[in-house]
Amino acid sequence: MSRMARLIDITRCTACRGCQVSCKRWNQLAGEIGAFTGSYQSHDDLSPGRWTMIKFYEEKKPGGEMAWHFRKATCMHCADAGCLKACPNEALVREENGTIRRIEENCIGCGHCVQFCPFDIPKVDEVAQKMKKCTFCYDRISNDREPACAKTCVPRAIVYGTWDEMAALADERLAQAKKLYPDSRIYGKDELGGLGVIYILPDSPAKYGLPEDPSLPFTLGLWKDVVHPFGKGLIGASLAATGLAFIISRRNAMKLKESAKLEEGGYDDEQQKNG
Amino acid sequence: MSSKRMVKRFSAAVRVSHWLYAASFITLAVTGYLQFGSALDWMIPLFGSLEGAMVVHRVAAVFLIIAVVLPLLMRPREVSAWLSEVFNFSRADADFLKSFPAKFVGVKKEIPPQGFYNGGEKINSLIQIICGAGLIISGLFLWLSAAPPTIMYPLHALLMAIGVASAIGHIYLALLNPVSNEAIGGMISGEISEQYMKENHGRWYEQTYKKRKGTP
Ligand code: HEM
Ligand code: SF4
Ligand code: SF4
Ligand code: SF4
Repeated sequence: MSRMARLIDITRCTACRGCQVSCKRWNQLAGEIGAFTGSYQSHDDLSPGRWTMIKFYEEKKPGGEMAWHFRKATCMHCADAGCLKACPNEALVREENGTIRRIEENCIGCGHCVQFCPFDIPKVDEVAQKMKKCTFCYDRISNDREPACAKTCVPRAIVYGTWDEMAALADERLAQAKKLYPDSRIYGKDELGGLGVIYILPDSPAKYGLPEDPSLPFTLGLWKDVVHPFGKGLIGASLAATGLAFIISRRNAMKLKESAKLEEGGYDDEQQKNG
Repeated sequence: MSSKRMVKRFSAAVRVSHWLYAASFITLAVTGYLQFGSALDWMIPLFGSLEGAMVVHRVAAVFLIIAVVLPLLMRPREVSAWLSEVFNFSRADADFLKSFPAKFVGVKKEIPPQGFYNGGEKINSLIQIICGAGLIISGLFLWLSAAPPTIMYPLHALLMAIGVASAIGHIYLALLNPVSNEAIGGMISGEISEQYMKENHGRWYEQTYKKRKGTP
């Protein structure tokens, strides 16, 4: 199966939050009433029971005029996924269709994935000790249905298809969007080896709470690609060296006993008895 | 044979701390390793689950910290004597290291007179002090911080590997090596034989007896 993706076209999104509701419905996540956030945003952040939401960003322009930006936040199912690399227990796997899927039984809720996701997506349910995030509707898409959020989207701001189709559609959509928003751009085609979400952003990523040039911290590679193999080698070498020394030391001890026997005509224990 | 003269080496507080540290360190190393590699995965049922092992890791961490703090409060002078010896690496220590390979494989060799600690013990102490302090600091970050600096992850793993590799050598020398394993008595009963003291810690022997003669 080829890699699948969602195109999320922010120039078409109306911030209706239909996807937010549809995700809850399909995944049977209970509704949660959050405190007032000071803006139109419904809740302060994603949560173990909220895998997608519309985030609002207010910008005060130099002239004092207010500008308003919003974006559907969701797991990007990155090609180069920091969460997957950080996970100590193989609780995250990459499926053939590009889904970064969590395996419930393997997840220990340690939260390493939280620290290494460049988009701050995974959320740990501290009571259940499980991390939760968007599943890319893996159950639906592996049965040839589109994700619940894409299906519900009226202005077709969320479109689902193969990654290549979505990349091509992004080019088309960008050409249209440029007429209304001259600063619009594509986000997700080149970032982190290609994201499973390709955005059309009307303006620069920073205005939508996205890192300009997302990357995985070098400490992640240092940890998993350098320290882990080096550490295993070091412990192995220490075990091997002491094991070998132990064998040699026993043989030396035996030799000493032998020569003691020859010189003094008797075994160690006999000598002890006599002495 | 039975009338071996014994010399006092370690106080009870220091011995309790040493064994508490050893037990916590091994528990931490095993439970931590379950996240680090897969060689010990067969031990997971011992802790119920990996989650259980990580709870044990945190409980053992508290005991390890107690094992470090205890002697600092109860025997500060013994601890500072240890530290000043360890951080004072001498000519005799370097010479000791030359004879160490033979000792490591169980061959008895004349060694230059050593102080209370020999060169090898000093290096082991140094490694354990650095790794222990680093593991406690990085471990507390990983445990208590909502967003620990990400360098703490590789740092914690690296110090574990160095600490464990050197602890393996330390355990072998203390328990299994026929030339040096008499020293274990110093950490169990607190005493070692005068003979062993003379042969392996000549400078300490001299200092001790010079002092005795000098006192009126
Ligand atoms: C001194 C001996 C210690 C050893 C040998 C040790 C070993 C380890 C190892 C191997 C890991 C897994 C890291 C990886 O996957 O690369 C780990 C994780 C961890 N350690 Fe330690 N550690 C020690 C002390 C401590 C202390 C003193 C603390 C806390 C005060 C601590 C807290 C943690 C935490 C929070 C983790 C992260 C895993 C988790 O989320 O449960 N460790 N440790
Ligand atoms: S967005 Fe974060 S959680 Fe999702 S795949 Fe990428 S790194 Fe993992
Ligand atoms: S919380 Fe779960 S998915 Fe995340 S790193 Fe830990 S075990 Fe893996
Ligand atoms: S793909 Fe499915 S799980 Fe992910 S945000 Fe959309 S509806 Fe929710």
